[in-house]
Amino acid sequence: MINLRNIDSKIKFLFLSFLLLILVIFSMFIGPVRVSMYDIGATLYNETFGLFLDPFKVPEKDFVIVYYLREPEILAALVVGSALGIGGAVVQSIFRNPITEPYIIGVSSGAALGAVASIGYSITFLGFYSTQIFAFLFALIIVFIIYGISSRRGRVPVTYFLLIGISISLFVSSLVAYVLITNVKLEGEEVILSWLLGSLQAITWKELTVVFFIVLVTSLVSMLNYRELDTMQMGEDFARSVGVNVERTKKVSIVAVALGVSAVVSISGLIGFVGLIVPHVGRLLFGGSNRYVIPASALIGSIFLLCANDLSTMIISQEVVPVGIITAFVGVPVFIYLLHKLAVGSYES
Amino acid sequence: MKVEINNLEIRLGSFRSSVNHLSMENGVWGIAGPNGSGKTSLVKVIDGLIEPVSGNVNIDGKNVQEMNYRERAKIISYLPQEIANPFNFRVSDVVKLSGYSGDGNEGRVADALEMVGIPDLKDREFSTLSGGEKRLVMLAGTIYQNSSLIIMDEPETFLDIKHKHILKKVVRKLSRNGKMILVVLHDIESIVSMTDSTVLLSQGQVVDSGTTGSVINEKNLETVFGIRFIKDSSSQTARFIEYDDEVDT
Repeated sequence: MINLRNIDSKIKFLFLSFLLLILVIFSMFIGPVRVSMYDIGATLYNETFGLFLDPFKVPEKDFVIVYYLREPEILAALVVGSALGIGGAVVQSIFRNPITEPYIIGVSSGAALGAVASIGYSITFLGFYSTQIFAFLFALIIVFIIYGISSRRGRVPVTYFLLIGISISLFVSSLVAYVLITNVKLEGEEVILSWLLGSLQAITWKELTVVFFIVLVTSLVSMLNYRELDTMQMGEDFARSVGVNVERTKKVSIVAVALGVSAVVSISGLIGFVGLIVPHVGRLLFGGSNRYVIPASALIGSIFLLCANDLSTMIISQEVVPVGIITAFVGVPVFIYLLHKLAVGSYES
Repeated sequence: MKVEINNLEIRLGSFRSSVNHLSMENGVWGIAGPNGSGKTSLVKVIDGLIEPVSGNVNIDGKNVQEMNYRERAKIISYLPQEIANPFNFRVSDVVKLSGYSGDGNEGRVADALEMVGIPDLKDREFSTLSGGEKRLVMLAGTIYQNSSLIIMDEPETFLDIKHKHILKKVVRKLSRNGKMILVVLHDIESIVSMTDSTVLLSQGQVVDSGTTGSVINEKNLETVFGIRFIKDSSSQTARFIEYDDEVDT
């Protein structure tokens, strides 16, 4: 059997990028309403060279479907998949734990509380995007509370952070359940359910643009920290002894992950499993160094989420299943298969 | 190179250690003593990994606590007692990690692995190695780091006879190349055969320090370990055998 680790990294990156491009094109055709290739191409032309010229006379219905529904959905899959994949790679390196994911630092429970509270209590004073802003802010607040409680004499011991994170997340989840049981109006129920299970439907260009820039900056920060994150995999004492400022790396990385993942969760809801498995697939292909794992996780996260999203649209006719259900449903068997076929001893000791 | 420790006090939970004055200069220094005597704590303070409650450690007159991590890493490298399992790293990747504060040179990775006798393991998956092989890889890392002071915490753990022999040769070679080495050891025979000088610790205090020949004697060993030792007169080198009163009588 070919060991994929031995193939040149450039070729693997090129292949993943090509696969993503094909998937993006394919996804343009996926949806409950059929739009012709001509209209999709014409809409893309119009977008590139000015929306109001429209020499191809695209029907308004098709233009709305392509420009306002499918494109943001596809791009959201890329942004959300990248942020969750990178977040997973970073968090697993910091905690030296293969079963951690970005949600473990408190992002998911915080965002859930913010979103559920804003929907449940009909909080709209922050305008159209109140739920997103609430989810984002609550996610950050919970992460910083966990980080603050975990600090001990200027250091944040990772096991301590992990335990505090899990405890506070459970505490916040019980608040979410309380809000759900006592306050949710009937019309909010479906929105909340879709949010808690994760969905890429109905994301607007405006929110996507803001989130895109947050993810871009935080991903770059994580990427710039790759050497520090690599040394931390050998233990904090080792990292310090080779010259890494471990506490600063932890702080910068956790802030970057918290900002990036909170931002994507605020628009997509809680899409599970991506942050957990994607970095492992990256490592199986490229080895353990975050120099490759971080960009690979962005690509694989995008590919995985886009596939899952296409499946969620196709699986039941005229009905869209929340993508978070598909990520776990399809992701688990695929991941177990990959682990068996590609691990080559890495996970056996 | 000179390591000087003054008025040092370390607290780790209920464990306390204090060293009024200790001076170590050049050569191979053994840090010896029973379990829990504060050997690892002492070397971790020297490498700046543990903040002491008070006192200071000076290396060639420079206070270690006042250096940043990079400055320290250029002077001191540390072979830890515990070895973590990173995700999917190859042996050469692990060695390269030690060059974080250095210039990084692919050729020197091979040289370091050659020096510890495992050049063939370069492309092996680190997590699939035996405990002893992992320790040799980490030792290669400390060589790759190219600092003037090398601290080794229990380097003989998991090593078989052949690898122990390699370790001793490497320590001697590094010392000949002008490196100062602090090595935490359990085994008295290893202390005697590997080190020029020794610091003997018990319950967080320095019992004695100086040339290994003068420090490792029946009286000091009995004080520190609480059991009697006798010098093996049949051995060419200084060798001590535990002397069990109950069995003898």
